[in-house]
Amino acid sequence: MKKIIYTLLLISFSLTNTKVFGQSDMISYGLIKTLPQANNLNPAILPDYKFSMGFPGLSGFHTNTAQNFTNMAILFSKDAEGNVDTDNIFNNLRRNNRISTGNTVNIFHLGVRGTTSYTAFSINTKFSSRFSLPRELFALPLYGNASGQLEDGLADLSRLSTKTMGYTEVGLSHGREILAGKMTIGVRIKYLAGHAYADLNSFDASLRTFGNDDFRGDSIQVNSNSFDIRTAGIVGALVNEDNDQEDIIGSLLANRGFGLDLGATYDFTKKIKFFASLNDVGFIKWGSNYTNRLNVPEFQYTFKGADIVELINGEDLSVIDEIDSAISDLDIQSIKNESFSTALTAKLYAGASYELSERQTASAILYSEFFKGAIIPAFTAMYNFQGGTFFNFGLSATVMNGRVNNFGTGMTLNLIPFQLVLATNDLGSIINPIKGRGVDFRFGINHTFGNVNKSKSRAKKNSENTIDTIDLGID
Amino acid sequence: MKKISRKYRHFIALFLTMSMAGCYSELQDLELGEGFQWSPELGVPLVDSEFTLKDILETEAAGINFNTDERNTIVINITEDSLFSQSASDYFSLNDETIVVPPLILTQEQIDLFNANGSVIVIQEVFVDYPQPSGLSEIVIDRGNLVSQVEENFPADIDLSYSLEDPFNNPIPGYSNFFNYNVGEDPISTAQSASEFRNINFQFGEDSTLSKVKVSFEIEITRVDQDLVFGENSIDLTISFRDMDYGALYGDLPSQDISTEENTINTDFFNQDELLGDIEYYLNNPQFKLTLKNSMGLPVRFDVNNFTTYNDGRPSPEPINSAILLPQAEEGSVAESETDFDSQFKEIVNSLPDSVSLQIDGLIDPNNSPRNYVTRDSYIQVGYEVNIPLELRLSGLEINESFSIDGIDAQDTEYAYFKFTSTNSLPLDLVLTADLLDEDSMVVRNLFDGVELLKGGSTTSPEAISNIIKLEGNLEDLQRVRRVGIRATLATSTPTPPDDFVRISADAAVKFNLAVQAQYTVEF
Repeated sequence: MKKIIYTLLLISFSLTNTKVFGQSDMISYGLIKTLPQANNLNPAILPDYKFSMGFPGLSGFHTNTAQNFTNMAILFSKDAEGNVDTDNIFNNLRRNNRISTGNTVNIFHLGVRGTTSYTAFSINTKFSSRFSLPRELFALPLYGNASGQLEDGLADLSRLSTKTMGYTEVGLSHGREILAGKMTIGVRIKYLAGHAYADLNSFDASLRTFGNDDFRGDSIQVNSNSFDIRTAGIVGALVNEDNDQEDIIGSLLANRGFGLDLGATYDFTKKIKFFASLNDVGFIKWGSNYTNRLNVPEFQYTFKGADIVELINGEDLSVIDEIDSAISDLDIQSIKNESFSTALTAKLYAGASYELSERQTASAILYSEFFKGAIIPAFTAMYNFQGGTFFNFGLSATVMNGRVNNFGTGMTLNLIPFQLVLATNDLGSIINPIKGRGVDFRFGINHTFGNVNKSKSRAKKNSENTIDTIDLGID
Repeated sequence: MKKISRKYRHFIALFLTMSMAGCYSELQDLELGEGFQWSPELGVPLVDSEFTLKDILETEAAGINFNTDERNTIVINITEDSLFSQSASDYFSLNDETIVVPPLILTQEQIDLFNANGSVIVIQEVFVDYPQPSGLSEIVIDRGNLVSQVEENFPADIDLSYSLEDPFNNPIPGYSNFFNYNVGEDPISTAQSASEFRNINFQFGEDSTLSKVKVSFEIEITRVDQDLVFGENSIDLTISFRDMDYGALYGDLPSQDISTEENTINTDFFNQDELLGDIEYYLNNPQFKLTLKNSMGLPVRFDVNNFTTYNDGRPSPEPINSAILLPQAEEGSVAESETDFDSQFKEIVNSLPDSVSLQIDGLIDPNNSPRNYVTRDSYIQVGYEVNIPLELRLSGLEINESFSIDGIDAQDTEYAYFKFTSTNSLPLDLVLTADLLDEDSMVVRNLFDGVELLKGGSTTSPEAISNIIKLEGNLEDLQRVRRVGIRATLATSTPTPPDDFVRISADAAVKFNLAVQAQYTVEF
């Protein structure tokens, strides 16, 4: 136990010193016993319902928009003269300013619980977009190239990146108990249909103004390594100006891929349970008919000034010819119909729960994304109160987006025969939108039937003669 | 536990309700700032130049060449090929000449034939001497105008034509005319013609045929109403050679004087309005050379008279007089001669004269040689060549200049820094003072106050200097600026012994950079 706490403390400490950012759905992990879609987070967790089903347009959606560098209080701040306080806005920027948006629409969900297993079929459409904007991208136009806001005159834009992807996944999962019920394992196989993709890959550009603290402007050097802007699916079709209806439809369906979710739980003791899942391991191959790769080659130019001798001679300035030729030599190539594959953003959930009481559970969950070879972690402490299948409530505190006060909450309410789901991973932004940094909201209505714990509840009720739980589930 | 749980939930619910109510009400109070103030600091390089003194001199001094000597020192070269230039035609020419052809009278046989037949054809050649120009043995006439006058008194119709040739069968344009006789009228008829001729030649030697013009007549005389009587009628022909240009003249050409007016050349280059200061300079090896050319077949002597320098209006005590003799040229070639005046020139140049004056006389064929010639293209030409290797000392050269500007709008500028950087391998120091002046020439701002822009260096150890002008504080006063006054002082750096001068080599350069850093504020 000490090792676990020690490990969690270490992780927590590291996260408070790391500007992290990710799109986790921690609160759904907290509602995993009653929320059928939470099975998407870990196929080894077996919901209590014997049968659950979600219909298109009703079974839910999850929207998440977040950033890590501002809020309305900052944006609306004023300086002493009543103007927009740009210094305050800028000073709150981070080295990397990230904006992400993710939307998941559950088109259909069907889950069947066996005695020791759970099998589910689901269709989800997902759209996600990420932007990473380096602080210098704002410093350069706002304060100028000679400003002290640029360290040593360097506007390093290499952290500028974006990735946008939309796809539909059709998944079939199966989880079951092993080791006499002490452990469950699960797997989900997903067929993916890519709809849209765009990214700015390996952008590496900088603008350096040479000088020192006394004077800056001796020369200006622009340096950019070769980079690609890739588009595919409907975005690729539009870039390629394939605008007719047949192309539009084709571009939405011509891209295929596969994904895999793996999960496991282990009951270490009666009260302590470990769980882990690795989601979205897979790829989408974007069909060659609707792709475009805009290749911007390497570019370097140093501007030191004009030759005054040429001015005296009345000649044309050679520096203008140099700039013209440098730009005209920039052979930007638009390469069409080149198939490529993109990996899904794999996510790792790992944690442990401790049963505080029969209805209350405390959990610690580590979340990590594997993005561009980097691990982007988050850590969540979760409190869960489960009033049978009727009511399930979760409250979480997550260290993510570089701050530790990212609270989430959610509940499922079973109103025969519908289950209502309301949840957010960013409670702070809802409670205090002025200082909120995003929007995260899950809403849905599921049809759930039966409860595998019913017999156990009844047995307990009979033996203790209490009414701690109210089971309104339908067998 | 259950009670605590319920209490906790109530507390959370109450807390959330209050928080949300409070925070959402604050949303209504959100209000964007009234404006937006943008104050970027920009740093931009403006000038990046590297130039040698030769680059600048070649740009600024049209007509002056810049060479290098064996030590790669820049040499200023000023060449004037035709300070004085005259052609042979300015001194020698051909006079107009007239030849009178003996009257053409019909013989008795020709008259009898006419009277018997009513007409007669007469064909006749006449040779007439071309007058010998004084002293010449041969003339080649390149071109000229021929004027002919014919008079006849035959009481008959006459169809007259004649042609001319020089002794070498070169044709000269002839003439033809029909003289109509009307019964009862005066039978005298005259006619005149003019035409251009080219390339004829006469030699005046022992063979007299080589100086004669051949005239060939063809005349057809036709009766009108009467017979002819022997000796009463004639045809008179007078031929004039006018406006002739010679191709060549051979013989004993007469001597000719050459005379030019006295020339005074101002040399007070350093006393112009924009140049002030107590200038001292020394040129180590200036060179002056007269170049003379003669393509005439006569010798020519030039006399440089009274080459005098003036300092503060006082002439030099010993004017220079010199004579230069050019030999006659072989036909088809040019005789050339050069005369150096290096030592005199060095003395003159380094004495900072206000002006110099000289007068040049000359005499063509001073010894009156008997056999000489000139051609159409013969000429005499006097030029000069000045070479000034930049081995020099210079001090006290102060250049004062001002430029007009119409105010500087700097109301949105918080500050502006200008950075000058130079790396100099020229052995020259340049110190600059620059002021922004108002319309009363009062100093609004001082930009440079005796700042050393260039410090003398060498190609092996160039000197680097960097200066920053800072315009900051209240810049609204720049609106009053009407002129920029500049005072630049240029001097050579300290020579390296044993030389007492510096040497400016062609590869000595100045690398010069100018950049600006400024902050301005824009309010939206």
